[in-house]
Amino acid sequence: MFKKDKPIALKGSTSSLCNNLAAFIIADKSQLNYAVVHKSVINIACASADGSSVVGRQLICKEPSASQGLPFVIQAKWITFPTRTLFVLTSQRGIQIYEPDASAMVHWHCLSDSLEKSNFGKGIAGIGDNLLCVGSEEGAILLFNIPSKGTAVTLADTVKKHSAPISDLASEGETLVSADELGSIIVWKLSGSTMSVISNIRGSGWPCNSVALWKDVIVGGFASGHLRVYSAASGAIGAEVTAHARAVNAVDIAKESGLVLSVSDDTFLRVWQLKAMNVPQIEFRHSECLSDLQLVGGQFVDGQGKALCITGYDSNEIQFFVNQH
Amino acid sequence: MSLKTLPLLFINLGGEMMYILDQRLRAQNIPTEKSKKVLNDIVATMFNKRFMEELFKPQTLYSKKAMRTVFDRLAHASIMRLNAASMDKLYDLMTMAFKYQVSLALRPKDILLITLNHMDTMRSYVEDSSGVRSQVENVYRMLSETYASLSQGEFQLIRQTLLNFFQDMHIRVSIFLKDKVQNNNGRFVLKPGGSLPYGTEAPGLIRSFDASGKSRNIAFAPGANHTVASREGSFDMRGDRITKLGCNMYSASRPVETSGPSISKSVMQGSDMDTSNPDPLAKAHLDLLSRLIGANVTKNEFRLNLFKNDQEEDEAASIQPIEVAESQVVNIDASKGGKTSELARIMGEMSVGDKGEGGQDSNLLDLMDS
Repeated sequence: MFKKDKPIALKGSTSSLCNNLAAFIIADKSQLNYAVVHKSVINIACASADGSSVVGRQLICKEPSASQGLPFVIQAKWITFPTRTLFVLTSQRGIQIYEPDASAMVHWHCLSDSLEKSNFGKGIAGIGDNLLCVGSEEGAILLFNIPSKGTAVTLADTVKKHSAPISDLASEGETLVSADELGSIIVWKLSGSTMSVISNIRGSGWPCNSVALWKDVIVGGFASGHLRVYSAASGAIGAEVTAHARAVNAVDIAKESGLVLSVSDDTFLRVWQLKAMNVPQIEFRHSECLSDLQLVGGQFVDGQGKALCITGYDSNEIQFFVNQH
Repeated sequence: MSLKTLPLLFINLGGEMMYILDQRLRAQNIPTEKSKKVLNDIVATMFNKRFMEELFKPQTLYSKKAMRTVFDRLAHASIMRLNAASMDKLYDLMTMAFKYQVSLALRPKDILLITLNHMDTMRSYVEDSSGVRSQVENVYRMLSETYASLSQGEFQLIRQTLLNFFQDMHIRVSIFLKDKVQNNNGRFVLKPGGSLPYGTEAPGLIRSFDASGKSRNIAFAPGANHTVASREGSFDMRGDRITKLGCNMYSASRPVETSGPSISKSVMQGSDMDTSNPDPLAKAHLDLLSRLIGANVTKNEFRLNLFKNDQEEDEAASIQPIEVAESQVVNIDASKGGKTSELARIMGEMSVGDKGEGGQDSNLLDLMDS
């Protein structure tokens, strides 16, 4: 079903982090952007749609109060609002917001300046027209108001319902899904400027490393190797899959087709098909073993899920697979 | 990344160092009495109570250079001497062995079991020296207090922190190459299938629920055969750790050997800038350690060689001049600041306090102070 395609070489290797691959497609410019974290550096590759030209850039994460050297980056991701796209990265100590080409910093928010206690940011999503959500090690979700242009970013609210560090966030429209290190998942709805809890799914103690949302269907990838499929509105479980032999490090959903990608430390990527019924279901589609590579990032390249890309720990490449149908 | 990673990194690297030294001491036919003294002295220094207390405080990892310097000092805590080429080789072997163990650990919490495997062997080296043994037992307690109750998520972050410390290190190790667990490019072989992490299920099943909660199972081909783990390794002071990772892999028939000079030690610009300006605390710890050890020559001193013969060692030394220079870069002057005076006080206490703790300790101190 999926055939290997030409990889993109990065300027540095991939760190071992969950969700360590972000993709940002500019359709009208036929440009594809990828970001992969290497310790304190983010390697960004800009490729033309046909893959004929690839330009690599690096963003070194520095912090205004950095007297202790450079902090490790935890996650980097592009967030697209109706009026604006931003490149957001989180570190052990804070949140940095950049213009989409990572050229200029728009905002910096400090989460911790203590040396003995970290408070990393993890989980990045956008909801509504202009709210940027970032999760924290303390279990809080910070909501930033993003102006349509300029740097006047303000912290609008902080909500805290999780008792463990936030591990990932996903969103669609006014709905936000937050997952934590104990495997619990909370579904939030934004009305006006207030966030309210819609459903609350209790975890089993294994971290939910990656979460994705599509048409009221939540897919969670767990450190136990499970994928779980829930209804966002009710929190009811639709399916539980013993999907991988090690931790699932990233999941993604192709928004137009409902294809799911899961990648794991067990060297496998797997593709699944979601069925958005009143109790959501999932079917197995495809499996691929990448020899000796612990997979840490995975993204579909297009809305249909015709092409996908993955990264693995200690590797300098983004590998691509294209559906032959 | 996790601020609780340093003790695990230090203890496991230390454990690997002891395995290699133990094997080389035998291979070089060093008299038993001297070998025992070396192992005993190094374990005693490594697990010095005050040094351990400093190490267990929440902090970021040392830089690669600072960590290397710590082990340079530690390896010379007794009457044994290593030249730069042997020290390079020793450190390469230690780091690749622990990278292998962290990479292959079934679940992040197994890193604690790997640590206990190292602790168990190190305890066996000092079994008949009550002073040092109680130091080692104290570290078991510290490990249990710090790590036994951590969540899977915290262990996952520790594992990622360790993997990122070892990122871009691809030194080939002959014992791994012979066992076919490492490829020629320095990467480890990750065979699909085999044992599953404790508490997980074998891949291959979709449980579909209907509105009433009733489930129906649909199988898919997982592409490998898996074995479910039936029991968890013991986190007690003594017990079956189940995992063999972290056990001594060297023996008379499987000697220590690296396959030629290290390859692809590429360091990306910027990648280690976070650690090129290390925490002043790391420097203070180094200073504490160097005071503990001292750098004085004693007349019983002997030289250990990690190569087959002296000629090979000389050759290795001549082709790795950069490494040697690097290893001497870290300046271990006492750093200024609030923490230093406290450390100075601790050091002062140590030279008095530890002397009374038994024969082996005073032996080490004699060595340090002579």
